[in-house]
Amino acid sequence: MTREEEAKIIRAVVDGNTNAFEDLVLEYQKQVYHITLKMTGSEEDAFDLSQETFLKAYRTLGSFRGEASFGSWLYRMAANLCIDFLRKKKRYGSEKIISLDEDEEEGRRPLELPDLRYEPQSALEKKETGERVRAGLAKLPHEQRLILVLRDVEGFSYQEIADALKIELGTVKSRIYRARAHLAQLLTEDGNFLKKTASEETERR
Amino acid sequence: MQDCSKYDIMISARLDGMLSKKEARELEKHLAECAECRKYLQLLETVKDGLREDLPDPPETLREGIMYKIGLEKGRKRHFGAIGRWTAIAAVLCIVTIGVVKLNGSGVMGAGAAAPEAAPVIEANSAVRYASDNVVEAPREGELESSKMAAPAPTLSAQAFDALSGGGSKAGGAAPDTEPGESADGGIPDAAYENGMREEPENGSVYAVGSLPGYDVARAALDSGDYRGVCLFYDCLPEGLPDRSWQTKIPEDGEEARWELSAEALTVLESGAEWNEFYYGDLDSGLGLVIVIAGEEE
Repeated sequence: MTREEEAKIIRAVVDGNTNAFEDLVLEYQKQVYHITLKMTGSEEDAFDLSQETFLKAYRTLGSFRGEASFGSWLYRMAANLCIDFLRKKKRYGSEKIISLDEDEEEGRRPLELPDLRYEPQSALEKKETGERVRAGLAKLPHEQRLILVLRDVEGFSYQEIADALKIELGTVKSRIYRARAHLAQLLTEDGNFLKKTASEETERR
Repeated sequence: MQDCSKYDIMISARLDGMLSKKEARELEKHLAECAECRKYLQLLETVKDGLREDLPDPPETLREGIMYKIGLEKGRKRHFGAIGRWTAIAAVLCIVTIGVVKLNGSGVMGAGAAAPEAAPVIEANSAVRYASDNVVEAPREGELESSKMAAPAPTLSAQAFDALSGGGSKAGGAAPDTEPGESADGGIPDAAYENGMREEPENGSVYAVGSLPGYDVARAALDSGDYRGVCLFYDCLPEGLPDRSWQTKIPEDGEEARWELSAEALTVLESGAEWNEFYYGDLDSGLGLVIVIAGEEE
Protein backbone atom coordinates (compact mmCIF):
# COMPACT_ATOMS: atom_id res chain seq x y z
CA MET A 1 0.00 0.00 0.00
CA THR A 2 1.42 3.34 -0.96
CA ARG A 3 1.42 6.37 1.26
CA GLU A 4 -1.21 7.94 -0.97
CA GLU A 5 -3.48 4.96 -0.76
CA GLU A 6 -3.08 4.92 2.96
CA ALA A 7 -3.82 8.61 3.27
CA LYS A 8 -6.95 8.09 1.28
CA ILE A 9 -8.14 5.30 3.49
CA ILE A 10 -7.41 7.27 6.60
CA ARG A 11 -9.34 10.24 5.31
CA ALA A 12 -12.24 7.99 4.47
CA VAL A 13 -12.32 6.50 7.94
CA VAL A 14 -12.10 9.87 9.60
CA ASP A 15 -14.96 11.03 7.43
CA GLY A 16 -17.08 8.23 8.71
CA ASN A 17 -16.43 5.26 6.46
CA THR A 18 -15.61 2.84 9.20
CA ASN A 19 -15.32 -0.16 6.95
CA ALA A 20 -12.38 1.35 5.19
CA PHE A 21 -10.39 0.75 8.32
CA GLU A 22 -10.40 -2.91 7.50
CA ASP A 23 -7.88 -2.32 4.75
CA LEU A 24 -5.47 -0.99 7.30
CA VAL A 25 -6.08 -3.96 9.53
CA LEU A 26 -5.41 -6.33 6.67
CA GLU A 27 -2.23 -4.51 5.77
CA TYR A 28 -0.70 -4.41 9.20
CA GLN A 29 -2.23 -7.08 11.35
CA LYS A 30 0.45 -9.63 10.65
CA GLN A 31 3.30 -7.53 11.89
CA VAL A 32 1.36 -6.21 14.83
CA TYR A 33 0.44 -9.72 15.79
CA HIS A 34 4.00 -10.94 15.45
CA ILE A 35 5.37 -8.12 17.54
CA THR A 36 2.87 -8.67 20.31
CA LEU A 37 3.40 -12.40 20.11
CA LYS A 38 7.14 -12.20 20.54
CA MET A 39 6.86 -9.60 23.23
CA THR A 40 4.34 -11.45 25.35
CA GLY A 41 5.02 -15.03 24.42
CA SER A 42 1.34 -15.76 24.52
CA GLU A 43 -1.08 -16.10 21.64
CA GLU A 44 -3.93 -14.97 23.82
CA ASP A 45 -2.15 -11.87 25.00
CA ALA A 46 -0.96 -11.17 21.50
CA PHE A 47 -4.51 -11.36 20.25
CA ASP A 48 -5.76 -8.96 22.91
CA LEU A 49 -2.93 -6.54 22.49
CA SER A 50 -3.23 -6.60 18.73
CA GLN A 51 -6.89 -5.78 19.00
CA GLU A 52 -6.20 -3.06 21.46
CA THR A 53 -3.61 -1.59 19.16
CA PHE A 54 -5.97 -1.35 16.23
CA LEU A 55 -8.81 -0.08 18.34
CA LYS A 56 -6.64 2.59 19.78
CA ALA A 57 -5.46 3.52 16.32
CA TYR A 58 -9.03 3.75 15.14
CA ARG A 59 -10.07 5.90 18.06
CA THR A 60 -7.23 8.32 17.71
CA LEU A 61 -7.05 8.29 13.94
CA GLY A 62 -8.33 11.82 13.83
CA SER A 63 -5.16 12.95 15.49
CA PHE A 64 -2.79 11.15 13.18
CA ARG A 65 -0.88 13.84 11.43
CA GLY A 66 0.70 11.81 8.69
CA GLU A 67 4.22 12.98 9.34
CA ALA A 68 5.39 9.51 10.06
CA SER A 69 3.96 6.64 8.14
CA PHE A 70 0.87 5.02 9.49
CA GLY A 71 2.81 1.83 10.02
CA SER A 72 5.36 3.51 12.23
CA TRP A 73 2.63 5.14 14.22
CA LEU A 74 0.85 1.85 14.59
CA TYR A 75 3.92 -0.15 15.55
CA ARG A 76 4.79 2.40 18.15
CA MET A 77 1.36 2.00 19.65
CA ALA A 78 1.75 -1.75 19.65
CA ALA A 79 5.16 -1.52 21.23
CA ASN A 80 3.98 0.79 23.97
CA LEU A 81 0.98 -1.34 24.73
CA CYS A 82 3.24 -4.38 24.98
CA ILE A 83 5.64 -2.66 27.28
CA ASP A 84 2.87 -1.34 29.49
CA PHE A 85 1.42 -4.79 29.56
CA LEU A 86 4.70 -6.38 30.51
CA ARG A 87 5.39 -3.78 33.15
CA LYS A 88 2.08 -4.45 34.75
CA LYS A 89 2.73 -8.13 34.79
CA LYS A 90 6.04 -7.51 36.39
CA ARG A 91 4.48 -5.38 39.05
CA TYR A 92 2.38 -8.29 40.08
CA GLY A 93 5.31 -10.56 40.11
CA SER A 94 4.31 -12.81 37.32
CA GLU A 95 7.44 -12.41 35.35
CA LYS A 96 11.02 -12.09 36.31
CA ILE A 97 13.11 -9.91 34.14
CA ILE A 98 16.82 -10.07 34.39
CA SER A 99 18.05 -6.59 34.09
CA LEU A 100 21.62 -5.61 34.51
CA ASP A 101 22.79 -2.12 35.13
CA GLU A 102 23.22 -0.27 31.92
CA ASP A 103 26.67 0.91 32.62
CA GLU A 104 28.04 -2.30 33.97
CA GLU A 105 27.75 -5.63 32.35
CA GLU A 106 25.66 -4.93 29.34
CA GLY A 107 27.48 -4.38 26.13
CA ARG A 108 30.60 -6.13 27.25
CA ARG A 109 31.75 -9.22 25.62
CA PRO A 110 31.58 -12.44 27.55
CA LEU A 111 34.90 -13.15 29.16
CA GLU A 112 35.18 -16.48 27.48
CA LEU A 113 34.15 -16.20 23.93
CA PRO A 114 33.00 -19.54 22.65
CA ASP A 115 34.59 -20.58 19.43
CA LEU A 116 31.69 -21.27 17.18
CA ARG A 117 33.39 -21.07 13.89
CA TYR A 118 34.44 -24.60 13.37
CA GLU A 119 31.53 -26.41 14.84
CA PRO A 120 29.47 -27.78 12.07
CA GLN A 121 25.90 -27.57 13.08
CA SER A 122 23.43 -30.21 12.11
CA ALA A 123 19.94 -29.13 11.35
CA LEU A 124 18.89 -30.34 14.74
CA GLU A 125 21.65 -28.44 16.47
CA LYS A 126 20.72 -25.33 14.59
CA LYS A 127 17.16 -25.77 15.67
CA GLU A 128 18.15 -26.22 19.28
CA THR A 129 20.38 -23.23 19.22
CA GLY A 130 17.52 -21.21 17.84
CA GLU A 131 15.27 -22.39 20.62
CA ARG A 132 17.79 -21.43 23.23
CA VAL A 133 18.30 -18.03 21.69
CA ARG A 134 14.60 -17.37 21.59
CA ALA A 135 14.24 -18.54 25.17
CA GLY A 136 16.96 -16.10 26.09
CA LEU A 137 15.05 -13.33 24.40
CA ALA A 138 12.37 -13.61 27.04
CA LYS A 139 14.92 -12.78 29.69
CA LEU A 140 15.92 -9.46 28.25
CA PRO A 141 14.58 -6.17 29.52
CA HIS A 142 11.52 -5.13 27.59
CA GLU A 143 13.16 -2.43 25.54
CA GLN A 144 15.93 -4.72 24.42
CA ARG A 145 13.54 -7.47 23.61
CA LEU A 146 11.50 -5.08 21.55
CA ILE A 147 14.34 -3.90 19.41
CA LEU A 148 15.50 -7.40 18.62
CA VAL A 149 11.96 -8.43 17.80
CA LEU A 150 11.70 -5.57 15.36
CA ARG A 151 15.11 -6.08 13.80
CA ASP A 152 15.81 -9.77 13.82
CA VAL A 153 12.39 -11.33 14.02
CA GLU A 154 10.38 -8.99 11.89
CA GLY A 155 13.23 -7.68 9.81
CA PHE A 156 12.51 -3.99 10.17
CA SER A 157 15.25 -1.81 8.77
CA TYR A 158 17.15 0.53 11.01
CA GLN A 159 15.21 3.42 9.54
CA GLU A 160 11.88 1.73 10.10
CA ILE A 161 12.85 1.12 13.68
CA ALA A 162 13.99 4.71 14.07
CA ASP A 163 10.63 5.90 12.75
CA ALA A 164 8.62 3.56 14.87
CA LEU A 165 10.42 4.26 18.11
CA LYS A 166 11.11 7.91 17.34
CA ILE A 167 14.81 7.62 17.98
CA GLU A 168 17.89 8.46 15.99
CA LEU A 169 19.52 5.99 13.66
CA GLY A 170 22.66 6.01 15.77
CA THR A 171 20.58 5.11 18.78
CA VAL A 172 19.01 2.25 16.87
CA LYS A 173 22.43 0.96 16.03
CA SER A 174 23.75 1.04 19.56
CA ARG A 175 20.57 -0.33 21.09
CA ILE A 176 20.57 -3.26 18.72
CA TYR A 177 24.14 -3.94 19.60
CA ARG A 178 23.51 -3.78 23.34
CA ALA A 179 20.53 -6.06 23.09
CA ARG A 180 22.44 -8.61 21.07
CA ALA A 181 25.43 -8.39 23.38
CA HIS A 182 23.25 -8.85 26.40
CA LEU A 183 21.53 -11.83 24.89
CA ALA A 184 24.85 -13.30 23.86
CA GLN A 185 26.09 -12.86 27.37
CA LEU A 186 23.08 -14.55 28.93
CA LEU A 187 23.38 -17.46 26.59
CA THR A 188 27.09 -17.83 27.08
CA GLU A 189 26.82 -17.69 30.84
CA ASP A 190 24.18 -20.35 30.79
CA GLY A 191 26.61 -22.59 29.03
CA ASN A 192 24.68 -22.75 25.86
CA PHE A 193 27.71 -22.63 23.69
CA LEU A 194 29.97 -25.03 25.46
CA LYS A 195 31.70 -27.48 23.30
CA LYS A 196 30.53 -30.97 23.98
CA THR A 197 32.77 -33.94 23.77
CA ALA A 198 31.72 -36.83 21.61
CA SER A 199 30.88 -39.02 24.59
CA GLU A 200 28.76 -36.34 26.19
CA GLU A 201 26.87 -36.11 22.96
CA THR A 202 25.98 -39.76 22.90
CA GLU A 203 25.09 -39.67 26.57
CA ARG A 204 22.72 -36.81 25.96
CA ARG A 205 20.86 -38.82 23.42
CA MET B 1 45.81 -7.09 24.92
CA GLN B 2 44.07 -4.88 22.52
CA ASP B 3 40.87 -3.19 23.51
CA CYS B 4 38.50 -4.24 20.82
CA SER B 5 35.40 -2.73 22.38
CA LYS B 6 35.40 0.07 19.86
CA TYR B 7 34.60 -2.52 17.26
CA ASP B 8 31.64 -3.94 19.16
CA ILE B 9 28.93 -1.82 17.64
CA MET B 10 30.52 -2.09 14.23
CA ILE B 11 30.49 -5.84 14.40
CA SER B 12 26.82 -5.76 15.16
CA ALA B 13 26.09 -3.24 12.43
CA ARG B 14 27.98 -5.34 9.96
CA LEU B 15 25.49 -8.13 10.48
CA ASP B 16 22.78 -5.74 9.34
CA GLY B 17 24.77 -4.30 6.46
CA MET B 18 24.78 -0.95 8.15
CA LEU B 19 28.43 0.01 7.95
CA SER B 20 29.69 2.82 5.85
CA LYS B 21 32.28 1.89 3.28
CA LYS B 22 34.97 3.35 5.45
CA GLU B 23 33.82 1.52 8.53
CA ALA B 24 33.50 -1.71 6.60
CA ARG B 25 37.04 -1.46 5.38
CA GLU B 26 38.36 -0.66 8.81
CA LEU B 27 36.53 -3.55 10.36
CA GLU B 28 37.59 -6.02 7.70
CA LYS B 29 41.17 -5.06 8.28
CA HIS B 30 40.84 -5.57 11.97
CA LEU B 31 39.02 -8.87 11.67
CA ALA B 32 41.81 -10.23 9.54
CA GLU B 33 44.12 -9.74 12.49
CA CYS B 34 41.97 -10.42 15.50
CA ALA B 35 40.71 -13.85 16.39
CA GLU B 36 38.75 -12.59 19.37
CA CYS B 37 36.73 -10.24 17.24
CA ARG B 38 36.11 -12.96 14.73
CA LYS B 39 34.76 -15.11 17.52
CA TYR B 40 32.57 -12.27 18.72
CA LEU B 41 31.25 -11.70 15.25
CA GLN B 42 30.38 -15.35 15.03
CA LEU B 43 28.68 -15.25 18.41
CA LEU B 44 26.54 -12.26 17.57
CA GLU B 45 25.71 -13.79 14.24
CA THR B 46 24.57 -16.96 15.94
CA VAL B 47 22.36 -14.90 18.19
CA LYS B 48 20.93 -12.93 15.29
CA ASP B 49 20.23 -16.00 13.20
CA GLY B 50 18.80 -17.84 16.15
CA LEU B 51 16.13 -15.21 16.50
CA ARG B 52 14.80 -15.81 13.07
CA GLU B 53 11.48 -17.49 13.32
CA ASP B 54 8.48 -18.24 11.21
CA LEU B 55 5.62 -16.86 13.12
CA PRO B 56 2.01 -17.81 12.56
CA ASP B 57 -0.45 -15.50 10.91
CA PRO B 58 -3.03 -13.96 13.15
CA PRO B 59 -6.36 -15.77 13.24
CA GLU B 60 -9.28 -14.51 11.19
CA THR B 61 -11.02 -13.65 14.40
CA LEU B 62 -8.57 -10.85 15.01
CA ARG B 63 -9.69 -8.83 12.07
CA GLU B 64 -13.30 -9.77 12.66
CA GLY B 65 -13.15 -8.78 16.28
CA ILE B 66 -11.57 -5.47 15.51
CA MET B 67 -14.13 -4.54 12.88
CA TYR B 68 -16.93 -5.69 15.12
CA LYS B 69 -15.80 -3.56 18.01
CA ILE B 70 -15.24 -0.63 15.76
CA GLY B 71 -18.76 -1.02 14.50
CA LEU B 72 -20.00 -0.77 18.05
CA GLU B 73 -18.18 2.44 18.57
CA LYS B 74 -19.19 3.98 15.35
CA GLY B 75 -22.61 4.99 16.48
CA ARG B 76 -21.24 7.30 19.05
CA LYS B 77 -19.30 9.70 17.03
CA ARG B 78 -20.36 11.54 14.03
CA HIS B 79 -17.06 13.11 13.37
CA PHE B 80 -13.75 12.38 14.85
CA GLY B 81 -13.47 15.99 15.80
CA ALA B 82 -16.67 16.04 17.72
CA ILE B 83 -15.42 14.33 20.78
CA GLY B 84 -16.42 15.61 24.13
CA ARG B 85 -13.81 17.70 25.69
CA TRP B 86 -13.32 18.41 29.29
CA THR B 87 -11.73 21.69 29.79
CA ALA B 88 -10.33 22.35 33.16
CA ILE B 89 -13.17 20.49 34.61
CA ALA B 90 -11.12 18.88 37.08
CA ALA B 91 -12.97 17.51 39.81
CA VAL B 92 -15.40 15.77 38.24
CA LEU B 93 -15.87 13.96 41.05
CA CYS B 94 -16.31 11.73 43.16
CA ILE B 95 -17.87 8.76 43.86
CA VAL B 96 -20.23 6.42 42.66
CA THR B 97 -23.05 4.13 42.42
CA ILE B 98 -23.91 2.10 45.32
CA GLY B 99 -24.97 -1.08 43.74
CA VAL B 100 -22.45 -3.78 44.10
CA VAL B 101 -22.78 -7.10 42.47
CA LYS B 102 -21.63 -9.63 44.94
CA LEU B 103 -20.66 -13.06 43.89
CA ASN B 104 -23.91 -14.70 44.74
CA GLY B 105 -25.86 -11.80 43.50
CA SER B 106 -27.83 -11.51 46.65
CA GLY B 107 -25.92 -9.20 48.84
CA VAL B 108 -26.61 -6.18 46.83
CA MET B 109 -26.62 -2.91 48.53
CA GLY B 110 -29.54 -0.69 48.02
CA ALA B 111 -29.17 1.46 45.04
CA GLY B 112 -30.34 4.94 45.60
CA ALA B 113 -30.93 4.23 49.24
CA ALA B 114 -28.92 7.12 50.47
CA ALA B 115 -29.19 10.68 49.52
CA PRO B 116 -26.36 11.73 47.35
CA GLU B 117 -23.38 13.16 49.05
CA ALA B 118 -22.85 16.75 48.42
CA ALA B 119 -20.45 16.08 45.68
CA PRO B 120 -18.72 19.04 44.24
CA VAL B 121 -19.73 19.50 40.70
CA ILE B 122 -17.62 21.64 38.54
CA GLU B 123 -19.25 23.62 35.85
CA ALA B 124 -17.97 22.62 32.52
CA ASN B 125 -16.12 25.51 31.06
CA SER B 126 -17.05 26.80 27.71
CA ALA B 127 -16.29 24.68 24.74
CA VAL B 128 -17.84 21.39 25.35
CA ARG B 129 -18.41 19.91 22.00
CA TYR B 130 -20.89 17.21 21.72
CA ALA B 131 -20.58 13.89 20.16
CA SER B 132 -23.24 12.58 17.88
CA ASP B 133 -26.76 12.40 19.02
CA ASN B 134 -27.30 8.74 19.27
CA VAL B 135 -28.89 8.43 22.59
CA VAL B 136 -28.90 5.24 24.50
CA GLU B 137 -32.34 3.87 24.21
CA ALA B 138 -33.40 0.41 23.53
CA PRO B 139 -33.10 -1.87 26.49
CA ARG B 140 -32.38 -5.47 26.25
CA GLU B 141 -35.31 -7.73 26.61
CA GLY B 142 -33.88 -9.46 29.58
CA GLU B 143 -33.17 -6.23 31.35
CA LEU B 144 -36.74 -5.35 32.03
CA GLU B 145 -37.34 -8.56 33.87
CA SER B 146 -34.25 -8.46 35.92
CA SER B 147 -34.66 -4.92 37.02
CA LYS B 148 -38.04 -5.69 38.41
CA MET B 149 -36.90 -8.75 40.19
CA ALA B 150 -34.74 -7.98 43.15
CA ALA B 151 -35.31 -4.72 44.88
CA PRO B 152 -32.05 -3.01 44.17
CA ALA B 153 -30.73 -3.36 40.71
CA PRO B 154 -27.13 -4.32 40.80
CA THR B 155 -25.95 -1.58 38.62
CA LEU B 156 -28.61 0.78 37.53
CA SER B 157 -32.10 1.53 38.47
CA ALA B 158 -34.61 2.39 35.85
CA GLN B 159 -34.69 5.99 36.91
CA ALA B 160 -31.00 6.39 36.77
CA PHE B 161 -30.90 4.94 33.36
CA ASP B 162 -33.58 7.28 32.23
CA ALA B 163 -31.83 10.21 33.72
CA LEU B 164 -28.67 9.29 32.03
CA SER B 165 -29.95 8.51 28.66
CA GLY B 166 -32.40 11.28 28.39
CA GLY B 167 -35.55 9.35 28.87
CA GLY B 168 -37.44 6.71 27.09
CA SER B 169 -35.46 3.78 28.25
CA LYS B 170 -35.64 1.21 30.87
CA ALA B 171 -33.01 -0.05 33.18
CA GLY B 172 -29.97 -1.67 31.83
CA GLY B 173 -27.86 -3.78 33.98
CA ALA B 174 -26.81 -7.25 34.63
CA ALA B 175 -29.39 -9.53 36.04
CA PRO B 176 -29.08 -9.59 39.79
CA ASP B 177 -28.24 -13.17 39.86
CA THR B 178 -25.55 -12.92 37.35
CA GLU B 179 -22.18 -13.55 38.81
CA PRO B 180 -19.55 -11.14 37.86
CA GLY B 181 -17.66 -13.80 36.12
CA GLU B 182 -20.53 -14.81 33.89
CA SER B 183 -21.92 -12.92 31.04
CA ALA B 184 -25.59 -12.29 31.02
CA ASP B 185 -27.67 -14.16 28.55
CA GLY B 186 -26.48 -13.63 25.06
CA GLY B 187 -28.31 -12.04 22.27
CA ILE B 188 -28.38 -8.34 22.71
CA PRO B 189 -30.52 -7.06 19.92
CA ASP B 190 -28.64 -5.27 17.22
CA ALA B 191 -30.76 -2.23 17.73
CA ALA B 192 -29.40 -1.93 21.21
CA TYR B 193 -25.89 -1.89 19.93
CA GLU B 194 -26.70 0.74 17.45
CA ASN B 195 -28.06 2.83 20.19
CA GLY B 196 -24.93 2.40 22.11
CA MET B 197 -25.43 -0.40 24.56
CA ARG B 198 -22.76 -2.89 25.02
CA GLU B 199 -22.13 -5.83 27.19
CA GLU B 200 -18.94 -6.37 29.00
CA PRO B 201 -18.26 -10.03 28.54
CA GLU B 202 -16.34 -10.61 31.70
CA ASN B 203 -18.84 -9.65 34.29
CA GLY B 204 -22.02 -9.23 32.36
CA SER B 205 -22.51 -5.62 33.32
CA VAL B 206 -24.13 -3.69 30.61
CA TYR B 207 -22.68 -0.41 29.62
CA ALA B 208 -24.27 2.40 27.92
CA VAL B 209 -21.69 3.67 25.61
CA GLY B 210 -22.94 7.13 25.64
CA SER B 211 -22.70 9.97 23.37
CA LEU B 212 -23.93 12.58 25.71
CA PRO B 213 -21.39 15.00 26.83
CA GLY B 214 -19.76 13.79 29.96
CA TYR B 215 -20.73 16.71 32.00
CA ASP B 216 -24.41 16.40 31.31
CA VAL B 217 -24.31 12.78 32.11
CA ALA B 218 -22.52 13.35 35.34
CA ARG B 219 -25.00 16.03 36.25
CA ALA B 220 -27.96 13.85 35.44
CA ALA B 221 -26.50 11.00 37.39
CA LEU B 222 -26.07 13.11 40.45
CA ASP B 223 -29.50 14.62 40.13
CA SER B 224 -31.09 11.24 39.86
CA GLY B 225 -30.02 10.49 43.36
CA ASP B 226 -28.84 7.09 42.40
CA TYR B 227 -25.31 8.05 42.04
CA ARG B 228 -23.17 9.78 44.47
CA GLY B 229 -20.80 10.73 41.85
CA VAL B 230 -18.88 9.89 38.87
CA CYS B 231 -15.61 8.27 38.40
CA LEU B 232 -13.07 8.70 35.74
CA PHE B 233 -11.49 5.89 33.97
CA TYR B 234 -9.25 6.10 31.06
CA ASP B 235 -7.36 3.97 28.68
CA CYS B 236 -5.12 4.55 25.74
CA LEU B 237 -3.12 7.03 27.60
CA PRO B 238 -0.46 9.44 26.91
CA GLU B 239 2.81 7.87 27.73
CA GLY B 240 3.74 7.51 31.28
CA LEU B 241 0.29 7.47 32.73
CA PRO B 242 -1.29 4.36 34.08
CA ASP B 243 -4.26 3.27 32.19
CA ARG B 244 -6.81 3.05 34.87
CA SER B 245 -6.57 5.99 37.01
CA TRP B 246 -9.52 5.99 39.21
CA GLN B 247 -8.67 5.46 42.78
CA THR B 248 -11.32 3.29 44.12
CA LYS B 249 -11.89 1.28 47.08
CA ILE B 250 -14.61 -1.25 46.66
CA PRO B 251 -16.65 -0.76 49.75
CA GLU B 252 -16.94 -3.44 52.34
CA ASP B 253 -20.36 -4.31 53.57
CA GLY B 254 -21.98 -1.33 55.09
CA GLU B 255 -19.18 0.92 54.08
CA GLU B 256 -19.83 3.84 51.87
CA ALA B 257 -18.42 3.87 48.44
CA ARG B 258 -15.77 6.44 48.22
CA TRP B 259 -13.81 7.04 45.16
CA GLU B 260 -11.58 9.86 44.52
CA LEU B 261 -10.36 11.22 41.37
CA SER B 262 -6.77 10.29 41.19
CA ALA B 263 -4.11 12.86 40.65
CA GLU B 264 -3.37 11.42 37.28
CA ALA B 265 -6.93 11.63 36.10
CA LEU B 266 -7.05 15.17 37.25
CA THR B 267 -3.95 15.98 35.32
CA VAL B 268 -5.36 14.43 32.22
CA LEU B 269 -8.59 16.31 32.58
CA GLU B 270 -6.92 19.57 33.21
CA SER B 271 -4.80 19.13 30.18
CA GLY B 272 -7.95 19.25 28.13
CA ALA B 273 -7.75 15.62 27.22
CA GLU B 274 -10.51 14.35 25.08
CA TRP B 275 -12.90 11.83 26.38
CA ASN B 276 -14.56 9.52 24.06
CA GLU B 277 -16.90 7.32 25.87
CA PHE B 278 -18.50 6.77 29.14
CA TYR B 279 -19.84 3.75 30.77
CA TYR B 280 -21.93 3.07 33.67
CA GLY B 281 -21.07 -0.11 35.28
CA ASP B 282 -17.42 -0.78 35.56
CA LEU B 283 -15.25 -3.47 34.30
CA ASP B 284 -14.17 -4.95 37.54
CA SER B 285 -16.78 -4.51 40.15
CA GLY B 286 -19.95 -3.73 38.34
CA LEU B 287 -20.35 -0.33 39.79
CA GLY B 288 -19.92 3.18 38.83
CA LEU B 289 -20.30 5.67 36.19
CA VAL B 290 -17.12 6.14 34.40
CA ILE B 291 -15.90 8.42 31.78
CA VAL B 292 -13.21 7.19 29.51
CA ILE B 293 -10.65 9.64 28.40
CA ALA B 294 -9.09 9.03 25.06
CA GLY B 295 -5.37 9.11 24.94
CA GLU B 296 -3.40 11.58 22.97
CA GLU B 297 -1.63 10.51 19.88
CA GLU B 298 1.94 9.70 20.57
